[in-house]
Amino acid sequence: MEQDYKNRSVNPDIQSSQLFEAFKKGDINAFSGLYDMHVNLLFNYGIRLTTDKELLKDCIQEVFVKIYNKRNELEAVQNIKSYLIISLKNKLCDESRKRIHLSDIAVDEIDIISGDNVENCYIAIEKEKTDSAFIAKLMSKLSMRQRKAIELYYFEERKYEDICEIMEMNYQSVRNLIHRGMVKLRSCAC
Amino acid sequence: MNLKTENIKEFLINDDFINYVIHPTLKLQLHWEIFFKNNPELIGFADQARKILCEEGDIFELHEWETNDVKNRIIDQCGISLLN
Repeated sequence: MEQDYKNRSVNPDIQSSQLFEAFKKGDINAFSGLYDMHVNLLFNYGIRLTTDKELLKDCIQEVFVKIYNKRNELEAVQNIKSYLIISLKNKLCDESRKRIHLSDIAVDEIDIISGDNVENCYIAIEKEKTDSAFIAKLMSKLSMRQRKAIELYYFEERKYEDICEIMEMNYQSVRNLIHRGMVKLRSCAC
Repeated sequence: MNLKTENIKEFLINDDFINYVIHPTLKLQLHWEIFFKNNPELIGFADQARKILCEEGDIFELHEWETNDVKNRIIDQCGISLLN
């Protein structure tokens, strides 16, 4: 499993998911594979947020140590790639905040990555409510079958094959139904 | 820091944008499609951020010895031993 990720003919997202699933079941070599697969993604991302390479390496280390220590609490994580990137970003934000407190240089000289504060959190929660109402309104414009297919695909994250079975339709019909639904949603949203 | 870098960074640190690029849901798709329709001047910056998240274009990588060094530090800190 650990070496599979180097085989580019296999979809990297699928490999990433397989490694993550194996890791959650206790496969330590899958943990090593996850690191090998994502370390340069994280470095390439983090180096755009900080010029301090050593800090970045420390933060990448902390991110992996954290997921190892919390491996029994990762059930809710749906996508390991975005989880790792967001964890690294949060870690870099935390380090930036610490440096503001530890440093004598003027605050406006520090390149703060930014992060959430209370006001932003409040705005995000309010926005979430508005977005949900907006999406519910848009969804009401769809036919029952379009709505059902889109709910299964996007909200429940079912595969096309599952939706075919649930809705008793063939693969192409399901794809067409979702595509037409999305076209309608976009036209109603704009 | 110039405006271009600052704008790209704004997308890179946005959790919703990260999820939209890597693991999109209907809600995120609609949100960002509407956002870009209302803010077309930001599409170029968002595309630069997307390329970074998808490892397209210029890529920065650690040297192999650095990759191994960080890995060994993680293994030490976690107190684990690997089979291979």
